Amino acid sequence: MKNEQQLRAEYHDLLGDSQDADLFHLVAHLDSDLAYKVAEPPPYLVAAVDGQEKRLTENKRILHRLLPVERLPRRASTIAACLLAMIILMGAGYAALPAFWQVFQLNSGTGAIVSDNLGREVNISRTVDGFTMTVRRVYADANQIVIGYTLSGPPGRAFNSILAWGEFNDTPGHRVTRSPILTDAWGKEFGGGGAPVGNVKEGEAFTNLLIYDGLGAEASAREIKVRLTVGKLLAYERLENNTFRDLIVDGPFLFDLTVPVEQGRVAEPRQVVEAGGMKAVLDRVVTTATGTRVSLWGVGPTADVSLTVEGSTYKLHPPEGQATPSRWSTESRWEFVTETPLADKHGEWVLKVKLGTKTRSEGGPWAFRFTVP
Amino acid sequence: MCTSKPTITAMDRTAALPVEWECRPENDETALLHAARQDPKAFGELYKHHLARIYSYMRARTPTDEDAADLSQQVFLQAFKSFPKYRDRGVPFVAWLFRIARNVATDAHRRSRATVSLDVVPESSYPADEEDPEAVALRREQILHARTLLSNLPPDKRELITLRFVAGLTLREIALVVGRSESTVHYQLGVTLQSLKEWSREE
Repeated sequence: MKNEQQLRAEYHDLLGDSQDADLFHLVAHLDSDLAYKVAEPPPYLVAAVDGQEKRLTENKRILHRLLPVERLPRRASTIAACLLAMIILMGAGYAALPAFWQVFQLNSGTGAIVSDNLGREVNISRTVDGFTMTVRRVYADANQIVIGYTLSGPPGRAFNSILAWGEFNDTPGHRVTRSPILTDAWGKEFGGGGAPVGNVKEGEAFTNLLIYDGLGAEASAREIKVRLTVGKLLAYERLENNTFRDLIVDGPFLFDLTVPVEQGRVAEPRQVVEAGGMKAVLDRVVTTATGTRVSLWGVGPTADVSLTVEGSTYKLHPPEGQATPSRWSTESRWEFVTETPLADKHGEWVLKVKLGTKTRSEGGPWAFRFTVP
Repeated sequence: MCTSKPTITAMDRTAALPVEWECRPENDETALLHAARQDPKAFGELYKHHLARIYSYMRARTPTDEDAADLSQQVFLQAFKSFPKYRDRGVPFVAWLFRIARNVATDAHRRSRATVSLDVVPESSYPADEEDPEAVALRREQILHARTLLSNLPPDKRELITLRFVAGLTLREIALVVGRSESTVHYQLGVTLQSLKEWSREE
C-alpha cells in the first residue's frame, strides 16, 4: 500500500491540499482495493509480441491445426489468433496462413469455419468505379451467418484500408452509418453485420468478415438464399507525400447467395422448471461451430442467462435480430446466444436464468440441467 | 511537436477530438510512436507499454478474465488498424487508445448486457497470503467494499472512477477519452468522491 506522500502526489488533482481525512482514506481505499488494478494480463497476451522463435512455433501449430490432423485446444486458438494477428499486422514476412483464412481466426466464433472447412467457397465479384468486392466464402447455422469477402481498389492506387459499409445519413458535420444489409428470400433482414471484424491485408486487397445473426434455434433448412446489399465502401487512401484521405465509394454492390446451413448439435430438453411461483421452459438448445443458442418460454428478453459446461460459465445475450420490447409476454419464446464455440463440450450442461430487472411477471431463478447429444 | 488544429470525421470514433492542443515535449512514448510509424513491428512496444492498463480497465468492465483478454486483443487490433490515422495533435496516445478501449467495452456490453456481479470476483483478484488468514479475510472485505461502492454508482460516474483509479489516467486524458472538458471531469469526479465518502460513512 502506498504511503501518504505517494498518494497525495498521485492524486493531487483530487485531494489538492485538503485535510479531509475521510476523503483521503477513501482515495487510499480506492487506490489499493479496486481489485482490477492488480489484474495481471494472462501470459499469452503478454507473450504475443515476444520473440521470433515463439511466433514461429505458434505459426507451425496454426498450420497443423488447419491440416486435418489434430485440433488445438480452445485456449491455444486464442493464443494463435492473437499472435497471428500481431504477426501478420507486423508484416513478419515469414510463412503464415493465407490472409483470407487469417481473418476468420480473429473472431472466436468463426475460427472453426476454416479449420473444419465449413461453409462454401463462392468467389463472386462485383466492381463499381474500379473498386472490386469479392464474396469468397459463406457459412450459416443457427447462431451466425458469416460472409468472408475481399475488397480491392483501382490498380495503381494505394490504400490503408477498405471496408464494406451500408447507407449513410450525411448531414453536414455528422454521419450515421449502418452495416451492409443481409436479407432472406422474403426480404426479411438479418440482424448484425456490425463493425468490421478485422481488416487483414492481402497484397493490395483487404479481407474481412460480415457476421449476422443466425437462422435461429428452429432452423432446419439445409441451405438458404440471401441477398447481401453493400451500399457504400469506406476507403482510406494513401496519397503521395504520405498523406491520407477518406473516400466514400457509392455502390451498391449486390450479391445473391446460396448458403449451406450447418446443423450442429441439437438438444430438445422441453424441460419445465418452476421457481418463485413461475414456470419457465427450456425448449431447444443448438450448439454449432459459431456459438450456442437456447430458446426459452416464460422468461423475458432481458433475462440474465448463463450456461455452465465442463466447469466453465458463459454469459448469453439476446441475438442481434431479436427485438426487446418494453412490454413482453411470458407466452413468447425468447432466444439467447453466446458466440463462444461450445460444440466440442460434453457432459452435463446447466442453464441458469434470472430475471435481471423488475417486470410484470417475476419469478425464478431457474436452473435447467440437460445433455446435448 | 506543435501542429494545426485537427479536422474531425464524425463517423470515425478514433479521430482526434476538438480539444485544446499544445506543444508536447519529446518523451519515451513519443519515441515509441515515431518508431512505430517507421516500422509496424515497433507497434509491439506500444502494445507492451499499455497492455497492463488496458487489460485492467477491461477487467473492470467485463465479468471474466477471458472476456477481458478478448476485448484487450480487439483494442490493440483496432488501434493497429487505425494507427496510421493517429496524430499527436495534443491528444496523448494513451487517451486515444483508451477511447478505443471504451468503445470496445461499450459495444461488448451492449451485445452481452453483462454486468459485473460481485459474486464472481475471481480468486486471482484476491490476495493469497496463506500464512495470515485474518489479513487475507480483511483484505477480501476491503476489496469487496470498494467494489460495492463502485457498483452503486451510475455507469458514467463509475467509468470516471475506473479510468482514474484502475486505468490511472490523468484528468486531462480522461477528458479526452470521454469527450468532456477537463474541468467538467474534475468536477464530476469530485462530486462522485463526495458521494462515495457519504456512503462509506453511512455504513
